[in-house]
Amino acid sequence: MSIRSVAVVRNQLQSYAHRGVFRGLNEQPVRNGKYTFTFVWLGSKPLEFCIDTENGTLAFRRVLPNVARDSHLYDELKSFLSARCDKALPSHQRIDPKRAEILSVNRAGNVTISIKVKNNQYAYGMNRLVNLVHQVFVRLNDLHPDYMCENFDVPQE
Amino acid sequence: MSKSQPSKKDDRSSKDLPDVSRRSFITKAAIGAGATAATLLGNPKISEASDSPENVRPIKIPDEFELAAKVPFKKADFPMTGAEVFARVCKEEGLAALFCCPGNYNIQNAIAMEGIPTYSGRHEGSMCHAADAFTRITGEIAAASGTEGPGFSDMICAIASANGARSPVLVLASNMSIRDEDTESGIQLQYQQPATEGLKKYGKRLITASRIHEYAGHAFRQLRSGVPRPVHLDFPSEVYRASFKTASELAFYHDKSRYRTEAKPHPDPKQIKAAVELLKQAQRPIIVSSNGVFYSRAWDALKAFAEKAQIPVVESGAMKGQISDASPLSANASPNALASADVVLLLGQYCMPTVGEFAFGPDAKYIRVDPAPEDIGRNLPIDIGLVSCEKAALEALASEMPAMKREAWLAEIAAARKKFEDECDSYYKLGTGYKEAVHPAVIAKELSDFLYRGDIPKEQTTVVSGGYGIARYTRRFLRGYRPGQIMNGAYQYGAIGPDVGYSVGVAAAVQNGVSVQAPYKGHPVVCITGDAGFGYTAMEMDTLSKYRLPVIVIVYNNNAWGTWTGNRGNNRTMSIHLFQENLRYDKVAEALGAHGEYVTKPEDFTPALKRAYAIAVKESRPSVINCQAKKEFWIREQFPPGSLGKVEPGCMSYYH
Repeated sequence: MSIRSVAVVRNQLQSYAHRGVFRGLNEQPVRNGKYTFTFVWLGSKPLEFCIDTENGTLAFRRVLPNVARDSHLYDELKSFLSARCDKALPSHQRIDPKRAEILSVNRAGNVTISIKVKNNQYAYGMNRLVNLVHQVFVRLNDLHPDYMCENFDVPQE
Repeated sequence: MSKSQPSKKDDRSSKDLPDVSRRSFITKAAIGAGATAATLLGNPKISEASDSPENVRPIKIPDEFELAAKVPFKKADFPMTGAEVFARVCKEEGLAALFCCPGNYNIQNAIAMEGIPTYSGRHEGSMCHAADAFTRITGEIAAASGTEGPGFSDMICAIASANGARSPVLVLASNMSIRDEDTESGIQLQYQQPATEGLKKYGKRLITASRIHEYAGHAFRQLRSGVPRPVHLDFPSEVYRASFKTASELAFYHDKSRYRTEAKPHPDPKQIKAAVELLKQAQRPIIVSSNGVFYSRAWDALKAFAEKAQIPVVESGAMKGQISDASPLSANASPNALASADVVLLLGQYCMPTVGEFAFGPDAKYIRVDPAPEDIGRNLPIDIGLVSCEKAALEALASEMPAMKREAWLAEIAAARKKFEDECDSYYKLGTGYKEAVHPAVIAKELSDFLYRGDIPKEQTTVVSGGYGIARYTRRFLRGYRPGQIMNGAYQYGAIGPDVGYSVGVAAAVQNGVSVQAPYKGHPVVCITGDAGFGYTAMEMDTLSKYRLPVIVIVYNNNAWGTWTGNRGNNRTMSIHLFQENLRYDKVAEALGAHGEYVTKPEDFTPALKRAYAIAVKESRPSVINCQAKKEFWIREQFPPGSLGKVEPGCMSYYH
């Protein structure tokens, strides 16, 4: 992954910040080829966005806390993520597997959602990942209000 | 002490009970609040004594109600009291209803004598909720009145709810006298205005009697302009009792055409062109129709613009029905399509969400139309801001916008609607499989079948869409087919319990055929609430009964506050969130003059609903359908789909 590709992703992040979508965008020092950004977006807690130049991935790290690996919620999440490549989806909602691959990792209950970019499609991958995480939150608000209340302070009525 | 072994004291009590049904009823009610309630309520001897034929006295509406309807209205004229001057302004300004409890007598009596429909209930808070609801489904201004400190402070939660809903409610309260301020002479004095700080658009303690007309004008100017919110006036006795022989004794005594204008802000043509350009370029634009569309009566303009530009409409706000859900342009039941929108036109979204609260994606651009420039850009960053009355903006947009075609986008909306409705149907199928109690999906689906797919015209019934957990289901099934059809519960303030109070206001509006409710005058109203909520305003079943307001109140009774799920596994705190099980809210309703149904099995819900509806039509009587559920229905692992959340905007929206 080139410095130019990093710049593409950084510019997109800054564009979201300039538009008021992300608040408090902050870039951390580079460590081991990883560029890390923090910002507030969905809810009040800062999210951590990482560009891994070694393996060409973009990730929202530990974006969902307290998700047990054997939970219904995690099973549903995995199903939802895999369905994002379904050809039945409108192209603007779909993630083209030729251009990007969705990955999710659950470490000690903390779920990281990431995209492995293919063919240097960083602008595409970045856009799809941000939209994907947004949709994950919409879905959690729809079907898992208790989880959102406990972990993101989403108010109960 | 077990229920089957009453104590000697209990036995003696039953023998000694006098043969007066009222007293025995009160005895029951009083002991029901105490620790021995279960025992005594279960004592058959007491039951026999109180229910024996000689003890039963029919619940009766006093003759005075019929007499009151025959008393001619009196237009106040000089010489007038301060209260009459104020009431005269209310009449000329078109105040559509007053909801009150006795107190603030001079003002409320003067308003009633002017011929403004006046309803008296059991709690000032409920009556203030009623005024809020009346306003929200008619667009007309309603007032709430309470007495002095206690009656006023009873209204605080309702004032806050109306404020969150941006409702133009006129809050009136008497407030002792100026001469005794700061003395604590007598009772009930309260500094009222500080108590509504942050909960109102305008407020004033009137202290100069000769300016009462002027301040009444201030109040209505605030209520009828810009973004509405409550206005709170408090009256000391020197003001409402003041006497004016002629108009010359009043300062600023003008016709309303002199103290306010009907003119509305119109949009800047440059901003209209910019908005049209953005909408023309958009692949998947969407309109969010909210409070401002209703209050500016812009639903026809909305329809005309949406159809010409082929832009789907999704609703949010304190009331729903501005776009018919029968229209292919309605995106209210298409939550999965919202993330696809690339341009969002926010119309009259007075209570703004923050980033992420609406389901639109991070790349969506926003055009916001609002009459208040100081609010545009708050919470949700904009691309274009239009300062305008919503109706004027829609007319200007329709004039500038060419006819468009967006077949692919509308197909996506339709597909999302189908998917959502299939999902709702799958919940219903799951719900019907739970035989031990009534699942919320059964209530939601069968109620919607009854209202929209049965013998009743689908646009007929006005619905108070309240409740907590139950609402997460019913909102998915409720639809609006005309303006003012759905009153969206407590809305942004999120109060638990106003629902029966709301239903008084909604039913009063429907009973009188006010504004958009005119074609549905006199038809039954449906109110959905939970057992927690019912507890707050249940006594208003008496109000519904005595005014013959035919509301069918559906109580989702799961024996618990909706908060219990957060305490699973904590035996110490769980009981905080629980009620006695299997409480008979239907019996409470019967004791207050309403019809009661107790439904314990899913297959019995629709027959009970039909019986209640028939009584509403034939007798104009309210009902309570007490639906016995179980709290465990919220546990997804045991009873899928469990507790549900929401997606905003659209049919599920509630916070904004």
